Amino acid sequence: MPATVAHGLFEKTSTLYAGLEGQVRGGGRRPPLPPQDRQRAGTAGMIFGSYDGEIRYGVLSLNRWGLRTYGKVHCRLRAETIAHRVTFLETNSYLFVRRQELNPGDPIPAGYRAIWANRHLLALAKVEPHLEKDGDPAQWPDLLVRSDGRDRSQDEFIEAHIFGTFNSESIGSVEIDEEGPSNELEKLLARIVVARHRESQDSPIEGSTS
Amino acid sequence: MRVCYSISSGLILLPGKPGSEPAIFSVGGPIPDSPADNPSLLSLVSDWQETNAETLDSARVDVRTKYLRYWAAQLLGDLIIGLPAALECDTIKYLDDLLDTRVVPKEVIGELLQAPLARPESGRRLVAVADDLGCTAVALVLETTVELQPRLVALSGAWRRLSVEHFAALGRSPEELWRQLAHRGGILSLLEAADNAFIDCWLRTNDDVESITPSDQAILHAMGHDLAALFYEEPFETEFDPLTIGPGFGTKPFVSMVGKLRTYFQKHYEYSFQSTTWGGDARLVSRCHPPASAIEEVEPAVLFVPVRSKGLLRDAA
Repeated sequence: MPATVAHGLFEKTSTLYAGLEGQVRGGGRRPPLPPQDRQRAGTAGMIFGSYDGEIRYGVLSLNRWGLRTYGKVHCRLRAETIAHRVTFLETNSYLFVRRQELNPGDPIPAGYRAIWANRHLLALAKVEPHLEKDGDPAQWPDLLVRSDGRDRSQDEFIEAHIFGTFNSESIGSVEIDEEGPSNELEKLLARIVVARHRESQDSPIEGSTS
Repeated sequence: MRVCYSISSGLILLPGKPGSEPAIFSVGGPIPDSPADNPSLLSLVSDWQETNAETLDSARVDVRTKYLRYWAAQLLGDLIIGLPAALECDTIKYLDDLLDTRVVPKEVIGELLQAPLARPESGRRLVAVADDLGCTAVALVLETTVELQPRLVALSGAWRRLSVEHFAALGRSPEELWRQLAHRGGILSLLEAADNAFIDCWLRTNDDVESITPSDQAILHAMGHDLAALFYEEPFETEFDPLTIGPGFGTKPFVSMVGKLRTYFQKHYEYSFQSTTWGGDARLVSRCHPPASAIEEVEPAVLFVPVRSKGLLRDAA
């Protein structure tokens, strides 16, 4: 996520990761009305129906890194805080709806989603064409999350859909992308996020990958 | 054209032409300009607002100004909360550059005065750190913010004691109205206003409130009088009363004087200037006494500062 977003999350533990939908549903503000909002709402509505406002988006990863096209700060969620409330989709939901030519009310085709316990099956189905018999497992994280850091339309990943919100205490690790494009403010904010995360880690809890 | 923007992220969303994708632009962060092609990106941001803009360039300028001011205030907040030493130093230097070149310090002070500081002593320590680093813009913003705390505490206390009937008549909660006041920079104006200008300042601050009706005006007028009465009911925490310091001072807030003095002597003299509280502790230490002509260039009201300080200016004059 951008350092600006991560900074807000780590400002205090009472800050919840709300996202646009959470705020709209909370009645705090009116949603933006231009076409992009209708597209967003349309995509989320087709996949999640009436509870689309409860969904927070993430990426399934084998390490501590997510998509570099979304910002400098990569937060890994503790498994125990989300395992019971996350599902996975084979790709970006916006592209998925378009590729599958889904219309409102259409069922989601089988074989493209998984719960936490079956996430390995979805990952295998997605990256199987790139796997080799004697391939190096160290390469698997890069097969699962592919991004050039510039063009989001080229990103390849499994999208995570988390029901409900979370706060900074759900975050197990924070990594900063030193190579991606950034400016001085982003770098500074990213360092502050890391400092705040360290402060909060008095009793670290080991979590597995998100 | 109608655009959506987010101050915290510096993102701007533009509706696309018919049949094409909307576009997303960034005035600050590393997110590249591109089609707004999925809901994940949009859902990262929680402070979308709408506005009219003549062109994309004018929207960029406007959002960038707000974005930098917002983050200047946030970084100052981070400093006050506390940062590791090296990060603190880098943050102060970055902020000083920002305040010198791209952000109006007074507007940042307005952002910082949305609520009293929990740890004003941290602000005082940071003033010294910033001074040591030669970051005078940061030092001045923090110093002013800390100095205004007693008045901010008094104002927020007065606000809490206002009759609920005022808010009910306006159809707004006390919290909502306070946020709106802070958003317009009204709190800083009120804190700096002299007692005889408080009501005028209050009404002026509320002039541009959207959809205000004549009956709202009457309520706001009554509210302003009540607020002033409550605000001045109790003496501020410090003994210094900037409004009665001397003849001719009436409408000149002390904080502005401090700023003017600092700016003036920063330009003309090698100096050290401290004003750590509202009262009695303001002192100017200059290696050479400024000539009388220098005094005349500064607002006449500043002549009353040394009355309670070391008398340097009075002697020089």
